[in-house]
Amino acid sequence: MLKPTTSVEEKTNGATNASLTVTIARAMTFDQPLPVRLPESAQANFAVHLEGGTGKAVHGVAEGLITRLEGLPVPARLLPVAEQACSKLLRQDLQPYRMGFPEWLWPVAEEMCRQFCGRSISAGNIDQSLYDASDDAAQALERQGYRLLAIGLRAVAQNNLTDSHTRRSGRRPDLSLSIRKRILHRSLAELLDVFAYALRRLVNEAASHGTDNHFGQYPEHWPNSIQYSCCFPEPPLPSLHGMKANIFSDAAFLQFHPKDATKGHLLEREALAFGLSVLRLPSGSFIAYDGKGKRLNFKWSRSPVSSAVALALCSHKDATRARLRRCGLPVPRGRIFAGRDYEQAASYAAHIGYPVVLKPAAGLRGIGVVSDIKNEKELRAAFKLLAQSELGFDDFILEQHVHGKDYRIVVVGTQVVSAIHREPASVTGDGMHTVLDLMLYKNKLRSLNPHLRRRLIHLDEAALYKLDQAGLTLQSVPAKGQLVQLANSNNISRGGDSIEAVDELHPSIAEAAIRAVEAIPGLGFCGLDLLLEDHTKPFDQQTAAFIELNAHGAIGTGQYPVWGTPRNVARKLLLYSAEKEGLEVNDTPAANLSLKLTIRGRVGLAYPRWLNSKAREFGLTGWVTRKDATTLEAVLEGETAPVAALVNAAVRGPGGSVPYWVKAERVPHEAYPEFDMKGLEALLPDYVVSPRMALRSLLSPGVEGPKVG
Amino acid sequence: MRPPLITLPPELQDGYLVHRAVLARGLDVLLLPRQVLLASQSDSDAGNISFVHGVPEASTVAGVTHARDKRLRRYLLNIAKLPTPPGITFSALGSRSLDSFIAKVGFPLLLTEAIGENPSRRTNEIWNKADLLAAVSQMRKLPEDQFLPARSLVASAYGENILSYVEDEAGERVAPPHARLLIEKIMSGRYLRCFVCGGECLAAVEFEASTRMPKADISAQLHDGFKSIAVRTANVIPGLFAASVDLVLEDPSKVPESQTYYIVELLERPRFDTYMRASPELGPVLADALLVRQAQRSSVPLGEPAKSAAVRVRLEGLPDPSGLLPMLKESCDAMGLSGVVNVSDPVEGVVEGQIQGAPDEIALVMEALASGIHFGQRTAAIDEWQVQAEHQSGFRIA
Repeated sequence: MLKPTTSVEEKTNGATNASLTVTIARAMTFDQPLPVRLPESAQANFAVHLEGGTGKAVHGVAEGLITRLEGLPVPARLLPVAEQACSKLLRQDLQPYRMGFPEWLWPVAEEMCRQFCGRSISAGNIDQSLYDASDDAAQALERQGYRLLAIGLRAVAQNNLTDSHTRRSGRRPDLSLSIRKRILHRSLAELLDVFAYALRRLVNEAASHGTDNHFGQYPEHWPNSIQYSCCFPEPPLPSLHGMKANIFSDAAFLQFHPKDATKGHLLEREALAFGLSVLRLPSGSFIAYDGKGKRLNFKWSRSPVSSAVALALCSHKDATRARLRRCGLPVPRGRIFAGRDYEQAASYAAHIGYPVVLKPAAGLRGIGVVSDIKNEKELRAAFKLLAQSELGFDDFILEQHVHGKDYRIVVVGTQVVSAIHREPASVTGDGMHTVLDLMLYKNKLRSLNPHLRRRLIHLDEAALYKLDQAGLTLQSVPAKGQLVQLANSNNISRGGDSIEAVDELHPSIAEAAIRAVEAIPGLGFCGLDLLLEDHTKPFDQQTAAFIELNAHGAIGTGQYPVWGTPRNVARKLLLYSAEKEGLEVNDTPAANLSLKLTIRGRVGLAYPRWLNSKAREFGLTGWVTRKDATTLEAVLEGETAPVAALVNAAVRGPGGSVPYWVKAERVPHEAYPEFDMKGLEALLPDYVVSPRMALRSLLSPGVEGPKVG
Repeated sequence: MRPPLITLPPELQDGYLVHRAVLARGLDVLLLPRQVLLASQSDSDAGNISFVHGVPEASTVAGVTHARDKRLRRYLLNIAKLPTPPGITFSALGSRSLDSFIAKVGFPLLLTEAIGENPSRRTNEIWNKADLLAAVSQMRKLPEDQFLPARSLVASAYGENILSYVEDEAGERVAPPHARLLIEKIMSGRYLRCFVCGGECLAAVEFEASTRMPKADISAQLHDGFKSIAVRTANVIPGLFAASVDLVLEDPSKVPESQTYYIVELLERPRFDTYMRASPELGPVLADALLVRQAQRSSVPLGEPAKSAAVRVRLEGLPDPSGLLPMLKESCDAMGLSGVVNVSDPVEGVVEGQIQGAPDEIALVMEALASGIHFGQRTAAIDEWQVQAEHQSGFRIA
């Protein structure tokens, strides 16, 4: 029973008085409006999605559902209207903002959104209501240790403020401006404007039963450009048989590395840990050396232990199948076809029988792959998908679909070091959240994994195809426990999940994997894709098939599985490479490093400032100084993971710099107390508020401002 | 030798010459797409040796990858104190550096891709900035086979699959703005190419200055100092067992320290076709030398080179096996090859039989079939097993 507090007639006149109270409640679906009356246990829920970033216009969407109109007598005739209004998407574009929505501000925005849940927002004075809510958010943030030093500056946790910071800035931490004073960062202010405007429109619609048709479906593929997202209450964290997803302690040091950097970086980290020196070059390359004339070169996971021939053979899937078959190893029956020769492929499929798999002959990352095609109709649809992919004109393979679980087995030399069970990208319903929300939330979890943070679940043709197969849309709310698949292949690059299973792998399966690697001349490191019914059972007592061999398979898959015990694949590969090439390495890896860096290139003023900032952020000590116009020297001391991460990042540096190469060599430990810029102290930043903002703070009564430095 | 009817493009010559050498030395062959060749002794446990585009198994993935990165190559050469022409890499996003570079070094200039095939796509000599900017725009256009990795005749099978692109105003796919290009000053002097294999400089040819085409074999005249420099250059990148090194210098017969010289190219592919243009015998000789050195490294014994060979063949994955046979007969007849073939599995596209004749011709036919040249269709795999020659009169279809 609705209990209004004011008359709806006031609203009908078009005036938005402070008479209608609405409560932001559950996320809605486009499929049908939710009933107005909700169970008692219903929780407030809404989602905020922002797209864009630096340099781009920022657009925002706030989804919400009004399920209770409190304090308002709602005539019966308005109930359907209210229901209709309840099931609309609220959307308002933020004004284009030159700087975009700063990444570091997102936790603040997320906390503000969390505070809105379950609150009553006065419809007649939405702005004030939201700003009051933001005050509560500010208090919550301060309890977490956040404090804004001044407008537009980084919000830092209290315990990050060091005495040296305070000394240099010349001001005490309590001379700060906070959200409490309602002087907000422009981005936050605009975010609140989004809500305010959207809510005002919704209130007007509910009151005037307008037929505005601005609301509607998401633009196609718009969700792919969502950069920030939050949803309240949050969906449950994904788990596997009660296992929580792995969290990795080195994730914080790798977050700013490019997508493929983990491959090369992990090898480089091991090289440094085992006492080798490193020459780090651009584009993911480095050379490790022992100072006695022996060298190892790598680019990502392109290593010195595999031949160019092996890579060429393995990267053509039909060549791989032809070779393995000749060596007596099980492979699916199939053959290759020239690009777009779909009719002959369809005849072949009819001959060998369904289900079949269609894929590019020299593809990667699962592009264009469609598996488990059950009939000709699905095959024709799969041809269309293939034709639309980047490799749509290239040769393709049609082969029998072998049922089984997908495993990526990593072999180094003659040893199986990892066996990852892969599953396609998916979400599991909870009866409350939409497919989109579940997908975005799972991507948040993936973004915490160093290997997966740039391998998120992507909304592409394959995902839409799978949703369509299941009769779902992005806005559908899957039932609790319902698995919704979002990819055609198990590739990790396509958002697939990874579970480490090497400890349970039957020895005969490991032997078969090693035989497959030995069938390829010159292959010293390989990630094999194998379909098995059960990885604990003997190889010859089940259906099994080798699908492909990857001569430069991602090291990160075994190193950073979502579930299961991680394996140090990089260490195995580095040590095997060193042994093969005759390099001398230490017996055990170092937990701490002390390295001298030589950085050569166009490394101007910003570079040492950047290095200083990053070294402090990583908790490292040492120094940096300029040797000449194109050379800097530095010493880094600290734990191996952050030191190695910064060495890797040093070849990129800050924007505008062009390092040519970075050399890192071991030096004796000196126990520096902190990180210094030798002879470059004048470059240190000072915390200064712009004169305009300082003047504003002086003119606004009752507002404290910082002293201008 | 009769003039061949089949002509292979330059990019396939390395693989063909090695294939020819393998057959002449009595080895069995498995020929897979993109010129992947596995060779082994019949009925032997000696193992395989393998090549791709003539690049031997001893050249590593990391080695060929680094050789294809011209920016990285320049850095490594400079660290090793080997001279390179003045040059910079830049992207469409950072083309402001061009002005200061041009002001410093002047013209003529050469523009190439910074990462890619060796030799990569490149311009002719550039003499002014307008032409340079036009060349940059043209260079960003992606070659058609960029998105055909399985069947490209130009792209190396071990190359990085770069599928990223953006669309320009005309809707054409072009390289993303961050893709890098290399621009270098064209240095004047005599242009040489040296073939280095297993730590030894085996041959050198000189190019004509005006046409940049090979003109003479100068292996005997090349000073030992330059041979050492060629070997040092190849060693700058670990994992290159065979390479071609290009130099620009004043006099190849004189000691390097007495003159100015530059390293201008380091190719992980042998490029035997260029040596053959200077001297036709060089190609087969160098390919055989490469095979011998790889076989020694792999402990695979080789027979003496023979002038004829007989192989049992199995051609697999043909789209139209019956349609192939008349064309195959016509070519083999014209090339003096004898034998017999038939379709053994029309569904899987398999032709089997026996072919005998000169290794040059057998290899040429097989390479054409594997690449889709001349016959209009392409095999998925070709097996060639060495057998005793039989009396065959002509080539027939069973």
